[in-house]
Amino acid sequence: MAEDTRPTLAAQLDEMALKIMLVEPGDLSVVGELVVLIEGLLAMPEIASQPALAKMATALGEVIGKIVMAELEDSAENYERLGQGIGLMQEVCRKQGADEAAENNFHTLLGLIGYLSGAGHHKVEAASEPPANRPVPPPAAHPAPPAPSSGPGETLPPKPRILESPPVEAMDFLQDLELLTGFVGETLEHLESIEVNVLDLEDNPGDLEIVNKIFRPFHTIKGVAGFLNLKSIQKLAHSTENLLDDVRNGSRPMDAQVVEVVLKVGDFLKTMVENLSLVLKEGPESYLNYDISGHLAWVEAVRAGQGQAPSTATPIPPPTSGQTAAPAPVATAEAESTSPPAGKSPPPPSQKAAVGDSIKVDVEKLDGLVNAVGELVIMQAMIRANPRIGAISDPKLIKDFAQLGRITTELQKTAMSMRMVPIRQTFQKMIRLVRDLSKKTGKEVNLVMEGEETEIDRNMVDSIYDPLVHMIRNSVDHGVQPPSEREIQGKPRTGTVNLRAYQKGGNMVIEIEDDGQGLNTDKIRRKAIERGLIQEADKVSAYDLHNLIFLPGFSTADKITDVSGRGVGMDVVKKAVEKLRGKVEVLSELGKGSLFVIRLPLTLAIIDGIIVRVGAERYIIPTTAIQESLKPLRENYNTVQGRGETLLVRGTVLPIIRLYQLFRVEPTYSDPCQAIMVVVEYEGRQRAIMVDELLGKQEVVIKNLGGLSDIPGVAGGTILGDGRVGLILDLAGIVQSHSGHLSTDNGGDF
Amino acid sequence: MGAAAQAVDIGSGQGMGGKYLTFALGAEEYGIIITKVREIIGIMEITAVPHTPDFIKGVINLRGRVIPIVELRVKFGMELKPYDDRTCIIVVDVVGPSGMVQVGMLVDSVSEVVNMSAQDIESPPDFGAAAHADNIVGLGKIKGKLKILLDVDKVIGHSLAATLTEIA
Repeated sequence: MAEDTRPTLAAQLDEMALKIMLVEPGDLSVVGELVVLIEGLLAMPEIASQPALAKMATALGEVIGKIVMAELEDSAENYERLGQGIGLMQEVCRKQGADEAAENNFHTLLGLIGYLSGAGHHKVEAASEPPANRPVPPPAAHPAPPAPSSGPGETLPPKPRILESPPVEAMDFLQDLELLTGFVGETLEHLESIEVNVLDLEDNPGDLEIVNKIFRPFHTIKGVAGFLNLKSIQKLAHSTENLLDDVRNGSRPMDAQVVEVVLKVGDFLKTMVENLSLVLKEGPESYLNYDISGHLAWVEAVRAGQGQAPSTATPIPPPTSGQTAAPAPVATAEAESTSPPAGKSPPPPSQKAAVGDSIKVDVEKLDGLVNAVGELVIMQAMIRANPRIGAISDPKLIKDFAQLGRITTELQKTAMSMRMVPIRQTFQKMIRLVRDLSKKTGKEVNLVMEGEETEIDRNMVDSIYDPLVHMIRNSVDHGVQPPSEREIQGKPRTGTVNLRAYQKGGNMVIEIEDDGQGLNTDKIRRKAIERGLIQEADKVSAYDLHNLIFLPGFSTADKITDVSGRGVGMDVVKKAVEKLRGKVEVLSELGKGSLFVIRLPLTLAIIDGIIVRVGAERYIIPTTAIQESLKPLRENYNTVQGRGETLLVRGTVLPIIRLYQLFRVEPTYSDPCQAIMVVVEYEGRQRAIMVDELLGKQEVVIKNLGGLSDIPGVAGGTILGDGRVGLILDLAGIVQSHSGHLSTDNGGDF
Repeated sequence: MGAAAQAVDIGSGQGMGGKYLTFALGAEEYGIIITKVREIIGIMEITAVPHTPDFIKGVINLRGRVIPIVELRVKFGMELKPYDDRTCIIVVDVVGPSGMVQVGMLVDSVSEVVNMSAQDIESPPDFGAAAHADNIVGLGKIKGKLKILLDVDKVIGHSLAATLTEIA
């Protein structure tokens, strides 16, 4: 029985941990829900076997009671401590009560709030408070932190030579082990790609796309490190990013110095991250606090155009201390108890324990099943299509076939649904993000979530996380204004970010809406003119202008903050969403706010498509993109000197893409008026794709092309009814490579 | 069995003994280590894939899986020859840019599986800076005939990777 009791207690605690995150000072309704949860916990029969936990829960209940009664302060800081307290309870629960240290720390925490100590109100920044007690939010969130090590608006650390002494870097990044594990893995990957790309860049110094490829991972590393409060990594990545930004802007050339420094910084970051992975394995004792000042100074020197690397920077600086960040013994205990040691990776508080009966299945097995079922469906169709079988007029056989068809369809549906998971977990991670970001930026932001139950293809969950983080970060940092500014504009002090998910017409839609300042159309316009994207005289709709923010390096932010603000985030978002065959767009009104809409296919496995023929080849065009198809009339067809061909459809002039030219196959018709035009829309732009014939509409199972991937214009393959492979078109790629064709010929598609 | 176990040990490895599948390409006989071979299938309809190098013939449906087909004649700069009933696709496991993938190799005909001991295999002669020299693991001598032993990971896997970087 004891085995069974723990999950329920743990689930209840997880629920509490989630609730405490949602508590805002002044909003006692959530506190009420928390009290109910605590009472529920105490009422569980299993709690009897865990007296320590019962005691903690009782104390927690009393503290909350006092807060409700205004006997204790209703402040964000106190809720922070309560949150930590619940974290400790989860710890105790996991260890089945045998954790005295956690218990002691728990009471210390409650003591800080004012409980038991008799003091009605908590004294701000009591001198005795060990820094390590302070939770995730960075020093910037506190009223007057002495010398913040990295404020949001700061572009560069002011005194790079100052060593970061161990106590400054509290080990609060260990609070979210799942996140840290992810960070370590991803960062190592990023660093690898950086290295490859830097070396590539050395050979092609002029290629800005490669600079972008190096820039982006640095940006991501910086962002996530900042989120985890890994200051040294964040700073180093940030200053390297600045250097690369200079290169990208063309304000300095890409030379050997830059290559050298970027490579060395990459190596150094790798050492630091590898140390973190050691920390994950062996516990906080193995944490090394690296001295980054040498590298930082070097990057700055290169950036300032000074020649040689300072000799102090070339060798990897030895760790300043092999000790954990522990100014006081209390803090050590604290750090260790909040961060479970060696090997264990407990579920983070935001993760709900599995509900209902479920089993874990290897993803590969599941994919195997889905593939096999897909084949079964195709095989079945092939057998039915066999003319000899069709000639049999036995009613029993026909009935049996119908039954078989029903079963296979059912089977396919079930297999597909097994890959779907609610988006809830991904959304829940955003709660923490918004909370920390709002502290960091000094803004008050309320995250409202809707539709967490909406199901999404399991394979998409991981890929959608990064873009979501970027966008939420963007909304909080750029969208929502500081409270004082909001008041001036007559808005409530607290900004709202809505995160919604729902299904609509075969799509999964995710919306991120903020009631902030909205996009400044004029500013974007100026910037676009500055960058030569549009001409002064061009009439461009506000919608089109707004959506320029998804271009690489397009940022209208005046200052570069360490949260976001170079425009790099938005093009990462776009690329990631497009990789999932989705779309992202922004609708915005100045002063009112912005709405980002991400449309994703429900599943990555199936696509509804029209099969078209070009010569001997057959291709599948995703139905969602198709507007109409027609046989063009001679008078609607025009050639534009030097710009290609166009077709007039209902008063709109559409560029024609001859698919056979793009794909270099032999067509049946090369005269546009004999062929069929399929009008597609991609990113608000319409194109007429020229094909020989439409063969039909079919739901097809998407397969990757074995070792071939990222082929421009091809999203994947599928097995057609006759067993041959048909290629699925990727319109983004087609439109792009078509534009590419034009621009090489004529120097531009704009 | 001992030979097979040995072959497993060396994986894609160096010119060592083991079982080799031999096949013909023009006048030459080639061999690849049997542990890399998944299956041998007859020629079937191949769907061309745009924007890929010439030696990528296209993709086929291998029981529901889509796998790329490499035309070895093109890869090795030989002249094309019409397919006949001896033309085969050898499906091999190779290390591609993103892990293990299956790839089909179009060859003129498949000959046999031979057992080669380490003594039968000579290290490849120095072709100077010849383009494909490092694709070759060694030269095997069986019954007085010479077999060129290929490293499929290099011949196929690397060229797949190269294809992709070329596209990107």
